[in-house]
Amino acid sequence: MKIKPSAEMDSLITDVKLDCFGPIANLHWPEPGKINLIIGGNACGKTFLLKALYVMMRTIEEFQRGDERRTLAELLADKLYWTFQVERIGELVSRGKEKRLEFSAKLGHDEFKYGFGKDTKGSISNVAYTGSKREANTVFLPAKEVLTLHRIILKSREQDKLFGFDDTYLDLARALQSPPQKGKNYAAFAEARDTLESIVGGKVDYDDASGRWLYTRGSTTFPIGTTSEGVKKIAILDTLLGNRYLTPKSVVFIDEPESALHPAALAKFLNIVEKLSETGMQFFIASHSYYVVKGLQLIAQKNKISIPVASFGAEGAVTFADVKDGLPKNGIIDEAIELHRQEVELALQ
Amino acid sequence: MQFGPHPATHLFHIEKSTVYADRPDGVKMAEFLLLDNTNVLLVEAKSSSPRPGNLADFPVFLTEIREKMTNALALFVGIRLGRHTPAAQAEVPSNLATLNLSTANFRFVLVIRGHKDEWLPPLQEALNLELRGLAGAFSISAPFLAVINDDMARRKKLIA
Repeated sequence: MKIKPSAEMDSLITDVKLDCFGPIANLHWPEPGKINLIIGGNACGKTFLLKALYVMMRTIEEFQRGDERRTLAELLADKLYWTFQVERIGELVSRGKEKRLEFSAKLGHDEFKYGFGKDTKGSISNVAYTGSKREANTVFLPAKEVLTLHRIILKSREQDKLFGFDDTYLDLARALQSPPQKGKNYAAFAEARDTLESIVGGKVDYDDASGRWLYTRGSTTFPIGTTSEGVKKIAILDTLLGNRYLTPKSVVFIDEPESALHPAALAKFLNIVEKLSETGMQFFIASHSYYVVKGLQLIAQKNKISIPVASFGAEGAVTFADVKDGLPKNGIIDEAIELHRQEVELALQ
Repeated sequence: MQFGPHPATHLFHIEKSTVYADRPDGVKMAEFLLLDNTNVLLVEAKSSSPRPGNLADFPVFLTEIREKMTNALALFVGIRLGRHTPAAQAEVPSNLATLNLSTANFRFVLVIRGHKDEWLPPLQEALNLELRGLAGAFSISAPFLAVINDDMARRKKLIA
């Protein structure tokens, strides 16, 4: 479905092209929307796509931020190295192909593009960005919560400089510690925080004195280690909205939101995503879950909004649709149908 | 939908039975019982069901199916227990008339013509919940329900 360009699209990622990028042989996604769903089997490239876009965003955001002196190419090489954690950047080029890896995408009206071959070790010469400094922040919310591992992530990366926790984890750990920024209060953010806090039945805050995360329910405080994974995951988004690390121009990548969340909590979470997208935030969500896929379909149809879906199929084929028009054929629904078929067979055997 | 062909000895058109014909107003009934291998299928056929998203009709639909299955099972067992006239008992075909009721595997089958495959699982789950009381009362082991479309019914040789 064609999305009319508007001022709202000024800070959104569009026109995404990847060639020979890891498991992604060829992808052209002309019109991502404000909320985007990415589905497909294991190891087909969903997280790779999220991370490729994440690398672009963080490269742009760190470029010329504060006293940052690295060039765009240096930043990009560092982000690729530490996000994908490959010894040589050239290892990101799809195997068995003699072609170069190429990436390009638009951010608003600006284009970011780069390319390199399989022999590229640590530096990339072919990088271009037509835009300028970007004040907003992008974040990647992984399937696993990071509050419990917060200090370990920071230590293993900042002190020990070890592979293990990639830049999505490091950037998130740092974002969670970011002091509250001055800025506008957005009603949608306050509403979202209220809903998030109602899901977990309390609040999670960082205690500077002890250097630990604490969960408070009513008048009782608990160490974060005793809280559930779901509470910790929800608390991460709540914290990033509260300290204004996320703003309406932020892009948020979410890998498997369904992990550790009860379906009822997940439904509320998806509604929060929709409300936040109305402020201008852009979301890319990779999922294996029937509840996410169906939940987003219902949100799209109820609110009459487009939610583009990229379906990763066999051998790297990617097809695009809009869940507002109904779900495309996909493995998640196919499996629900298969389970039903097995139940019928059992009943009638 | 054209059900069958099924051997006359295995098929009881309970909706056309004389006992049902004398029913009070508003009593609903499934279409037929079929002895299929070791299973006794209580079958209801619909040409449609509330489309996904048609929330208001859905609970009414579930209640209707539960009532039909409940009445069909209760009437069949009532006839077999000799609580109705000999004429009514004679309408039950031989294989169903001699079935050991204490060990019979009853199964509820809802066939919906034209229903897409992907619409069936949620309906199966909802009706599983709706019928669990009835299944429990008669100690019918799970899986006790099959919600299928006409394509699946054809593959299971329930319809031509």
